[in-house]
Amino acid sequence: MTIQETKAHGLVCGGMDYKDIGFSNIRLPNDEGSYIYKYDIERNLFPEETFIHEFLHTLERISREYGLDYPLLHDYEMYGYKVEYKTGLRDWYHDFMTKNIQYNGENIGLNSAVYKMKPVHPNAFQYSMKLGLDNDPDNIIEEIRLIIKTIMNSTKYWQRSETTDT
Amino acid sequence: MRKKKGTASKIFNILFIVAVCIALKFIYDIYKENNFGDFSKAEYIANISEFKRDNQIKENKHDSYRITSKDFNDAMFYKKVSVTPNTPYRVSCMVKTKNVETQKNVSNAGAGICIADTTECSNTVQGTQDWQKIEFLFNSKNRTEVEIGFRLGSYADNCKGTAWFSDLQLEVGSESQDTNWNMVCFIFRNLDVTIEEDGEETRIQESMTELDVSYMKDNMERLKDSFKQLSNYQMTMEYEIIEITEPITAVSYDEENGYYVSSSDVAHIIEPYVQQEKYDYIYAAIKLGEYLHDDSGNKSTWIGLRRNGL
Repeated sequence: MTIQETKAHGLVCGGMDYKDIGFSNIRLPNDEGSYIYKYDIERNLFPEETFIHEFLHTLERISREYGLDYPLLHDYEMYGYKVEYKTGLRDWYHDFMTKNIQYNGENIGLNSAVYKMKPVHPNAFQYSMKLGLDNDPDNIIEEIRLIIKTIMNSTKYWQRSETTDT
Repeated sequence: MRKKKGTASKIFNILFIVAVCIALKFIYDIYKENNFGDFSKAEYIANISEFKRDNQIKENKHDSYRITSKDFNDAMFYKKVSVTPNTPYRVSCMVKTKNVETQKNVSNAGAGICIADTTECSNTVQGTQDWQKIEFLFNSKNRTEVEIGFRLGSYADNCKGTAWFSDLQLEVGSESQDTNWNMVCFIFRNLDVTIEEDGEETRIQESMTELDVSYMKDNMERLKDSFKQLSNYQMTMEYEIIEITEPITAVSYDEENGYYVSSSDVAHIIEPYVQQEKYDYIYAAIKLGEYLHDDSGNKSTWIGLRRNGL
């Protein structure tokens, strides 16, 4: 099965977002004795796993939106990884993030370009270039030119319509 | 006699020219009032909204673009723009509104900027507001064309009222090479929601303990090293922790995950912080309580995470 087929067969968990910023829940357990978020040398060496996992869902979503190939985060068993008692899926996350999953003789995982694909912030426009969006004329010559252009475009549209009609 | 005829002819010619000028002015005014240039117009329910150029209410020397929806509708004028993939863009405009109302009680609809056929949109303006600038930042991602829309409504709700748009601008920014992610963890200490199931209302109140909060803080600190190690230093992270005492008053539900807090459930709380436009990722630490969150059931945690023994 190729990566593309994997995507088609598997569940694509895009992760939530708020204004294009990845957003995830960290749900605390009701059991006060739970070790899910508590570091413990005997039980849990990777209590931050949920935080990593949810963030990686956002990188999955970004990869999909940018057209980058990636294996599905939940497909770890298909690639031979399993949940370890103390460290959960740490090995899987490492290979997923470093494109080090061995599959059909090639290494797959997240494309490293995804780490640069963060939400857009105003500092990206420090030396921005303005593009035309509004074609309103600034003077009478531009106005006349625009009217002529509009008439010409309308004429072309009518000619196209007539051609289509016939 | 010849002189009289000449004078009459001149008067007729002058009147004719004046009439032609008046007629041209009339046609020109109609043209100007309806000229949206390269913009196309679209509305969810046909013939509810009116699209006009306005030479009376305007922010600069150019006529403003006016959308008036007599009844609830989603209306916009939009333009297809070529973009370079993986590039940041900023669209801005001045907007003024009069009696803009949303159809739903809780809604992000209003006068704003969007990319047509997506959920990507700016903040919106509702009610009656004087001219103000709104901005919409987006990344083209893998697209080569986008349809930029100036909208009265939203993808999820309708509006009525009048909105004027002016000074429409598009800027292209520079691609970021930064791999340091600025994350924020909102710790929602309290929850106070009323759930309706089978016609019965249940009020759920839950608070985090100091121990819960300390676990969240410890894990955020641990994350810094974990991201470096797991990615072989291809990415790093910084973080802020913001403790929120205002209770969460709405939760969402789906079959796969059970109850959870969606961004729209807490948008009114996190928006003032997110408005600073510096965060790259948001964690919402929540405690739902036994009624909404069964630790031992199938919906206890997100798929793929450990449950056994923890």
